[in-house]
Amino acid sequence: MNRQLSEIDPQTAWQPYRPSAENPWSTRLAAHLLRRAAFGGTITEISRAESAGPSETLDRLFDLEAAADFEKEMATAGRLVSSGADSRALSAWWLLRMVQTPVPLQEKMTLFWHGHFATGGDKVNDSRAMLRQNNLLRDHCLTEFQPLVREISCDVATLIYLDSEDNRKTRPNENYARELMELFCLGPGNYTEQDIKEIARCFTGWEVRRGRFNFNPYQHDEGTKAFLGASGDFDGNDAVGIVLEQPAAARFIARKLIRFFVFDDLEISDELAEPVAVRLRETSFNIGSALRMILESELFFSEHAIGHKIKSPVELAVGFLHFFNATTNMQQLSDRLAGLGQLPLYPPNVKGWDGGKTWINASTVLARANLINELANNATFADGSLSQWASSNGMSESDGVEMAEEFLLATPMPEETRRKISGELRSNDVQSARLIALVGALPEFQLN
Amino acid sequence: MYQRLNLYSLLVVMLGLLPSLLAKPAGAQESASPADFLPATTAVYVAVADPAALIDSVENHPVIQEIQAMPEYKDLIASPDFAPALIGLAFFENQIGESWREALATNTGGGLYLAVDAGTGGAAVIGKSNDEAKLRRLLGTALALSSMGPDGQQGDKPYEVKEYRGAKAASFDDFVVARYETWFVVTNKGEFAKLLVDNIIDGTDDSLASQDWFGEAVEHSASAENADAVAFINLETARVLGESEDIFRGRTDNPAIELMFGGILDTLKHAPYAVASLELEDDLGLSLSTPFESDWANEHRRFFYGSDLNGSAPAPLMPENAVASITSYRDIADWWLSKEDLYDENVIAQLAQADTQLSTIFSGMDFGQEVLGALQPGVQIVVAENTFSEDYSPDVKLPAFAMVGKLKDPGAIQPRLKIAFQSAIGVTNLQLGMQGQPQLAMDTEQVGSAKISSASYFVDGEDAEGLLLFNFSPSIAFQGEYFILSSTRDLAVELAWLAVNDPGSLEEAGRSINTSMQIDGGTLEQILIDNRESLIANNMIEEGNTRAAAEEQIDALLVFAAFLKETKLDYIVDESRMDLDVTVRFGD
Amino acid sequence: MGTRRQFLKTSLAGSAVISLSGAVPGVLLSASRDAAPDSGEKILVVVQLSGGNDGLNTIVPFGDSRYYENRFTLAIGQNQVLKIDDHVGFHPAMDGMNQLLQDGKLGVVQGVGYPEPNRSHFESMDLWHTAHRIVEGRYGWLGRTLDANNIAPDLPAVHFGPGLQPLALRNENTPVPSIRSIDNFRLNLLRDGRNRELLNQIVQPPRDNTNELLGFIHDSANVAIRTSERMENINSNSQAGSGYPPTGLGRNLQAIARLIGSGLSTRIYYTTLDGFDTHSNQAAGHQGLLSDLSRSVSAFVADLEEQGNADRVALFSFSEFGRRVRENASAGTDHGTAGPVFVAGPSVKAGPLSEHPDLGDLQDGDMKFGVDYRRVYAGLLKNWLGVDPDPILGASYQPFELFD
Repeated sequence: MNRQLSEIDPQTAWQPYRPSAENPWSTRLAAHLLRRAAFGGTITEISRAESAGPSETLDRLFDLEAAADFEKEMATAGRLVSSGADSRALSAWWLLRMVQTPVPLQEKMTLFWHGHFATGGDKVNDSRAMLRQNNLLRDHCLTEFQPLVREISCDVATLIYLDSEDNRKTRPNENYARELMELFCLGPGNYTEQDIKEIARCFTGWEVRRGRFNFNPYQHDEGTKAFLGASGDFDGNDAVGIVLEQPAAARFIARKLIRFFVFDDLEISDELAEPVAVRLRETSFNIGSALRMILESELFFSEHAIGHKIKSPVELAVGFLHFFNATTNMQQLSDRLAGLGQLPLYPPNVKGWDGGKTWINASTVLARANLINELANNATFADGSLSQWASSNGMSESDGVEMAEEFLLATPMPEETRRKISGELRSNDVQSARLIALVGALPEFQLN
Repeated sequence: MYQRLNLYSLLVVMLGLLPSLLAKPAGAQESASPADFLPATTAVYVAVADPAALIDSVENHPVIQEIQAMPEYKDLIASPDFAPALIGLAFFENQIGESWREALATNTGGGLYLAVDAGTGGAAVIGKSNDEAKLRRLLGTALALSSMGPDGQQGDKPYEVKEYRGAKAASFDDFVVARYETWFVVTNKGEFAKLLVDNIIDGTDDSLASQDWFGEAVEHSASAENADAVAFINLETARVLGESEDIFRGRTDNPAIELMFGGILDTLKHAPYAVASLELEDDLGLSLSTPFESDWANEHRRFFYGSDLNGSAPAPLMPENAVASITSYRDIADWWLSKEDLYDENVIAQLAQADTQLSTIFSGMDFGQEVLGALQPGVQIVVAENTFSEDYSPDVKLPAFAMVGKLKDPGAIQPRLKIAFQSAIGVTNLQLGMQGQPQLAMDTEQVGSAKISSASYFVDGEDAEGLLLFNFSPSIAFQGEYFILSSTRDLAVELAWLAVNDPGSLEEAGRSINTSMQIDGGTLEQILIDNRESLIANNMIEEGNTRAAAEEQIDALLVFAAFLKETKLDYIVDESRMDLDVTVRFGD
Repeated sequence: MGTRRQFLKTSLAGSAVISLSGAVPGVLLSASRDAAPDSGEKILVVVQLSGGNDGLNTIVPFGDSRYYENRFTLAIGQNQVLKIDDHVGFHPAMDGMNQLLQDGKLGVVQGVGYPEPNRSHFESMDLWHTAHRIVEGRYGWLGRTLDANNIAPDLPAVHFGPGLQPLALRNENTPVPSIRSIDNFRLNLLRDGRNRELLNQIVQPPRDNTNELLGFIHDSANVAIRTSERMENINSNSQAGSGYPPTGLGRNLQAIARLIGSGLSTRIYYTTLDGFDTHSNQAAGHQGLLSDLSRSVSAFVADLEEQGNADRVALFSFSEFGRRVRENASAGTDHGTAGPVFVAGPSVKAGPLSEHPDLGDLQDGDMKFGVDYRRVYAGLLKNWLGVDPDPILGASYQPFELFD
C-alpha cells in the first residue's frame, strides 16, 4: 500500500517539472512550493504564485536582493537584543525575522544550515557569537559550500560548542575533526578513526582567545598528515578542501537537502541522490543551483513529495502567523517552541534536529494543538480579527472550509471531518478561533 | 453588541463610584456624616467631600487636556472599539434623564465614603444624594440594566428586592445595594447594611466618630484640610488582622528594606492610626502621616533616626543632568555594626561573610569600624544622565550612578581608601582577564582642588563591539571632607565641583528631613529617548511588531513620559509625628 | 500484528463512547478503562544517563594505583570513596545508592559494553537503543518488545521528560506518549466540553492509508487525546510521594511513582538524565549529576516501598559509553568504552555482579568490556518482563542474572 522507492526513477525524478494534463500547475502545487521553499504563503501570495507559474515564482523566491531595508532594520535589532550571555532574545529575534521576512527562502535555508551546523546558545553562552554565526549562515545560505565550511571551521560559537577552543600540537583535539566529517561533510562510514586523528593535527593552533578566533603558529603541527588518500603539510583549510573532494561529500549534502525539502518518509538511495550530487560537483558545490534543481523537479511536484513532510515546530508556528497575517510575542512563542522540541539556537545536540517523525509523539501533538489554540485566540491579527481576516480574503460561511483546506492543508481531510467542521462554521471571532484551533489539532495540519 | 452595552453601563456606574476610594469628611453639612453611624469597629474610613469637584479637577487638569487634544486620543474615541462604551453611556444617560456628570454631582452631593468594618467583615461604599427622587431613579435604572439580557430585553432579575425599616434594598448573590432616604450604600455584607440603617434611624453612642483614635486622627489631619480625599486607618485593628504579616512586626530580614524604610516599620508596629490624603490641583499631592513617639524607635535603629530623632539628610548635590537623587540620614557604620541585633542568623552569616571579603579588599582594615566608620552619618545616592565619547556610543545607554558621603577625618583615611580602590580594580582586572574581557586602566588626577582616581576600559579595535558597560569608568573623588564613589569619571568630577561651588540645601520649616528623594521627569525622558533604538528592538520581539509599528508605540510612550516633570518625596519624623509627603508635578 | 492494531482501534472506539456520554464520574471512568489492571505485572523503569558517564569516577577502583596515575587531578581519594569492598566503592556523592546496595536493593554490573566500541555519542547510543540492530530498521529494543508482546495494550509505555523520545522505544505499531509532567499533559481545547465531542469526531475518522506519515500522526493524536483524559483523572485522584531532590530527574521519577501508584497498567517507563559529556572541568559537574541520580533513585525506591509496589518495579540505569581512563588536559575526560550499569529495587541481586575491568589490560587506552550489554537486556527481558529475548535482540544471549 505504501509508496515505494522503486516507483521513483532517479533519471527522470530530477527533470524539470512541466505542467501537464495529469499534473497541472494549480493552487495546490503553488501552496506546496511556498510551504517548502518559504514558511507557507498567504492566500494572496499563493494566488499570485498560481498565476505567475512555477518558474517565475522560483525566480522570485531565489532573489534575495529584494530585502535591503529589512536587512538593515533586522541587523540593528539583532545587535540590540544580543548583548549578554543568554541567546533567548536572539531566538525571538530570529522568529520575528522568519515571520516578517520578504525573502523567506533565505530564512528557511538559514534554518537548514543551523540544523546542519547545529550550535546551542546554552553552551556557547555568548549571544554575540551566536548572532555572528547566524549571520554567517545567512550570508552563505545559497552560495558555495566550501567557503561556508571554512568560515564555520573558525567560527567562535561553533568551536566553543564543539569543545574545540583549544587545539595544541602535543595534544590534538579530535572533536572538531570528527564532527567535520561525521556531521558536516561526509556522514558516518566514510572515514576512519585514523583520518580523524590526522585531520585533528591539521587544525592544531586553531583556537578561541578572548572570544575571538586566533591562529597560534606555535601550536600548529607542521608535520606531514596523511588521510583520505592525501598526504602533505596540510592546515585546516586544506583539510576542508580534501574532505569535500570525497565522493561521499556531494552525496551527503544532496541527501540532506532532499530530506529537508522533499520528503520525510522514503529512503534516499545513492542512485536517487546522485544527480543532485553531480550538480553540486559540477558547480563547485553551489547550494543555490542544487536547491533550484530540487525545487523545480518532477519529483518535488509529485505525489511522492506533496504532504510527505511533517511540519517542524518552527514551520508550524511561523507558517500559522504568516498565513493569517498575524503576529505575537516572539519571546513567549520561543518558550512555547522549546516545549514542542524546536527552539531556534538551542538544538538538542550537535546533530541538530532529526525532524520527520521525531517531531511527533502524543506529547508534542498536544503541545502543537495547544499552541495553535493559543495563537488563534491571542495572536494580533493585522486585519483586526480572524473574522475580518476571513472577509478581507473573500471567505464566507459557505466556502470557508474548502478555501482553508485548499490553501492551508497539504492533504485533504476525510469527508466526515470536513462535514463536521463546515457544520460549525460561523463568521464570528469566538467561533472562528475555536474552529481554527480544532483544525490546528488535525493530523492533516501537521503535514507540510 | 447588546451584551457589551449592558457591561459598559455597569462599568460607568462603577466608574462613578471609583473616587470614593480616596475621600474626606463632609465638612459643615447639616446632616450627619457616616462617621456618626459607622460602628466603632470601623478599621478604614475614606471620605471624598465633593466627588464632582474631584472629577472636575481631573478633567480640567492640563495633562488630561493635553491628552484629549492628541490626535491619537481622538482616533481612539472615534474608533469602533470605543463605540459600544459611548453608546452604552448615552443609553444610560437617556434612561436616567440627565448626564452622568449631573447625576454624580447630585447623587454624591453629600459626599462619597468608603468604610471597612472589622466587626462584620463588611466593606461598603456609602453616598449621600441631594435629591431623593433622582437617587431613586438612578438606582432603579442601574438595577433594570443589570437584568437586561444580551438581546436588550428584560430577563430574569439577578437580584432579590428586600425592605428593612423603610430602607429599600436589592440583594445580588454577595452584594447589597440599599437606599435609605438620601443615603445609599453598596456593600458585600447584608448584615453591615442593616447595622448602618439601624444606626441612622436609632443613632448610636458607640459610633466611629466617638472613638478616641478617630478624634485624634481627625485633629492630626488638620493640615490636610484642602485635600480632595482623606483616609483614616485604625492601625491597632490592622495589626490584629494582619498579625502574621512581617510588616507589622517592626523588623525585616531584607537589609535593603531596613536601610530604606526601617523607621516606617517602627511606626506600623506602634502607631494607633494613620491618615492619608490626596490633593489634586496642577500638582498631585499624596501624604501619609501618623503620630510618633521617641520611645517607639527601635534602640538599634539609631542609625536610621540619629540620636533624639534629629538625624538630618545631607544637602544633596544636584548635577545638571541628574535623573534622581535620594539623600538620607543613615549612619551606615552604626547599621553595619548593629546587624546582629537586627537580623536573623542567615542574614547575619551572609553579612559576616561579606565583612570578611571586604576587609580583605580594604587592606586588613575592619570594614564596619574603620572603613564605614570613617564616614559621617548621612549619604546621598545620585543618578545622572551619562556622557559618551564621540567614537563609541554603546547600544544601551545606562545612566551614571554615584554615592556621596563625608569623611570624619579626611587626611587620615584618604590614602587608605585610595589603596582599597586600587585593590578593587586589581581584583576586577584579574577576573576580567580570565573571562577574556577588556581590562581597566587606572588614572589619578587633580581637578581643581579635587583629587580623583578613575579606571576606564582599555579597548582596542573591534573588542568594543557589544560591550554593555563601555561607558563604565569607576572612580573615587576627594574634595575637602567629601568622598565620592561614582560609576563614571565625569560624574565624579561634576560632583566634586558642586561640593565646593553649589553644595545645595534641604529645609523644611523647623523640622529636620530624614530622607528626601527627587526624580527629574525631563532627564528620565531624555534617557528613554537615548535608548529609543533598544526600546524599539525589544518592542519588536516582545510584541512581534514590524519596525514601523514598534516605532509608533515607543514614540507614543515617549509622549506620555514627557508629561511627568518631577516627583518629590520627603520623609520627616520627630517626637510628635511622622510624615511621608509625595508631590508629583506635571507639565512645566 | 493485525490483532494488536485491531485491539488499539477497538479500545479507542470504547473511549470515544465513554467521552461522548459526558458526565461520567472520574472513578467510574478510570475503572472502565482499566478493566483488568493486573497489579502483579512487573514494571521496568529505565534511566538513561546521556553524554557518556565516567564509570571510573562512579564506581571507583580505589584499590588500583593505576587509577590514581591516570586521574592525576580527578581521582577520588581512598578515604572519600564509599567502599563496597576492598577494590571498589561509590563516588562520595552517591550516599543514597550506596545505602540501597547495603540494604540489598541495588546491583551493579561493571564493565558493560560491546565489541568494536564506537565513540560517537549518537552512534553508540543508537547501538544501545537498537541492541545493535540499526541496519534492520529504526526500531528500539523496548519498541520491539512492545511490538512482539501484547503487554499492557492500553498504554504499554510512557516516556517521561522534555526531550525527544528515545529510539529505544520506537516501534512499529504502538504510539508511546512523552509526558513532561502530569499537570502539563493536557489538551487545552478540552477545557471546553463542546470541543471534546467535536475533536473526537474530527480526529477519529480513518485517514487515507497511502500516506504513512499521516497515519502515524493520526495514531499519535488519538493516543494523545486518550492519555490527556487519563492524566486529568490521575491528577485528581492521587498524590505525589516525598523525599525527591528538586531536580528534573527527581520530578520525573516522582511522577512515574505516582503513575505506578495510581494503578496504571503501563509496564515500561523511560526517563533521561543529561549532562555526562564532561570534557572539561569535570569534578563539580559530575558530582552534581551523581548526587542527583543517587538521591532520585533512592527516593524512588523508598516511595514505591511506601506504596507497596516496590517488589514489582525494577529501575535500570545505563550510559552510552564510559570515558577514557586517562583524564585530558582540561581536567575532564574524553569518550571511552565500557562502564557500569545499575539495577535497583528490592527484587534485584545486590552488590557488584561482575568484575571491574582490568586497568592493566587496556586497548588504545580504553577499558575492555567484560559483559555484553545485550546480556543485561536479555536478563531484563526474560527474568523481569517475562518475554522471550531472542527475537527482540536478534540473536541468543545468555541472560545476565540480575534478580534473586
